[in-house]
Amino acid sequence: MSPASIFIQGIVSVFFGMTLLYLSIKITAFFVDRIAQKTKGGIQDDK
Amino acid sequence: MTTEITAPLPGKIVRLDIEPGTSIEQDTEIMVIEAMKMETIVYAPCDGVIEKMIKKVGDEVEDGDLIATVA
Amino acid sequence: MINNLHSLLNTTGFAHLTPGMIIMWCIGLILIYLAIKKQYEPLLLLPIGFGILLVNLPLSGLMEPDVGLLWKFYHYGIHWEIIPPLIFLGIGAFTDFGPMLANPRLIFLGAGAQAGVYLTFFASHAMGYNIMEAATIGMIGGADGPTTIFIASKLAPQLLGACAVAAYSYMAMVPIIQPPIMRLMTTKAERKIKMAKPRPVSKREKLLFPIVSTFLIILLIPASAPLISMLMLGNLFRESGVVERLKGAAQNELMNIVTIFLGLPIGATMHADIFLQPKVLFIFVLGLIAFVLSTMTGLLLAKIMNVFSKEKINPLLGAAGVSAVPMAARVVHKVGIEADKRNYLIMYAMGPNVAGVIGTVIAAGIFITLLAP
Repeated sequence: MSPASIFIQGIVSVFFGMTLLYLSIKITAFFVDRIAQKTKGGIQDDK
Repeated sequence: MTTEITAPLPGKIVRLDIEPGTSIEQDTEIMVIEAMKMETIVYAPCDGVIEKMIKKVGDEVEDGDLIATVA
Repeated sequence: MINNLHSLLNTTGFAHLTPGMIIMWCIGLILIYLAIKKQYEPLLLLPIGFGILLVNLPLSGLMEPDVGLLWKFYHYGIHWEIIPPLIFLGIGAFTDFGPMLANPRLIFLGAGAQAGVYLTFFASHAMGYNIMEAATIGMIGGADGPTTIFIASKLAPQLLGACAVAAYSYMAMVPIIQPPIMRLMTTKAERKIKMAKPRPVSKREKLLFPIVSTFLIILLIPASAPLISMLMLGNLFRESGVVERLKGAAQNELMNIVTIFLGLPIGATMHADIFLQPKVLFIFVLGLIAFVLSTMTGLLLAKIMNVFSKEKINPLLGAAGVSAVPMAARVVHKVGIEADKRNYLIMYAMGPNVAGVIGTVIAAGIFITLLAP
């Protein structure tokens, strides 16, 4: 495998990996927020 | 009018140069917060006299915690 | 009579000393000096320095395959890839990913600094190192000791000592290497940029992060599994809040023990015959270049991101993408305060800093996937 292709593949994969990580954080945050809101709503319903 | 002095970064207060009654001038050193083993100087946000102290030396603070009020 | 004396002398080490060994003693002593007097990464440079002294004492047999004590440490600890992942367990238990979760877009800065790794890889290969050696040398730019050692033991064990020492000594010198580059590549106005308050991060999010990211990264780059799994397990210990004892053990006892078994055999790989070659010594030049390039690509990416985003990023944060935790973040904080005494960047800088650790592991995983025999 030529160094140039390793170079390109490497940089692309690192950015791809970090993008996935970024998206996973965003998605987790979104769902955690929703769960938090639902539980809050639940408590209010009880009142 | 009261102004609040809040912690600009999380850490531990290791030095406080102010107490109730101290008059402060904007941009003078008022305390040192240690975060990540690094001492950071905090400066007065405005001119005035310290009215009330909420935190003391040795306290751990979070970003934005109220430390003192200035009258 | 004289013959007897002669054979007696031959059983001692004195008769087998070479000038190279004496040079290595000096190098070992310099590292010990730097560790004690200057406190440069003393936890590692001290045992490494002593290991260098030991392996350059002739006839000691400490690195003799199958029998030598240090050889066993090396073989079962490093060659078998046990110690670097255990260090990562401790790092995970120490690391608060909160600042990174609070400001997810700063993750990309942790990736930006890895471009320096690949640039150095390219340059090293062009200079005549073989492709595996070049990958190992490039990894120094990730500024992550255990990862450098991990990849060296897989791809280029003959360079392990030099690469490890280069990585750890330049990490200790981050406060000297980085600031001039940071000032050169940013304007004062850029350095004064204040970051927007980060969003609050809930406990649940911090707890989910190690689990979700383990799945994601290992599925994407299986070769990074040994390091990333241990890193995230350590972090799960930390964030779960129910295994304080395990967290403490990973952070303290275990970490301290494996540090001893890491430093000594690394020093012991640096025998005069292996180490004192132009090809190995030149690694120190390339390692420095790697650090400089990683800092530059991090800063550059932050500036590029600013072109496209409305909320400006202080470009200094790009320099924290070099994963020397927390030295690089501290440097960012200090250079930021120089420009504006009210600009407190430390917590923002921790984001790209810990993202840099993950980025470096991914980069190492890719090298291993593409190159490992």
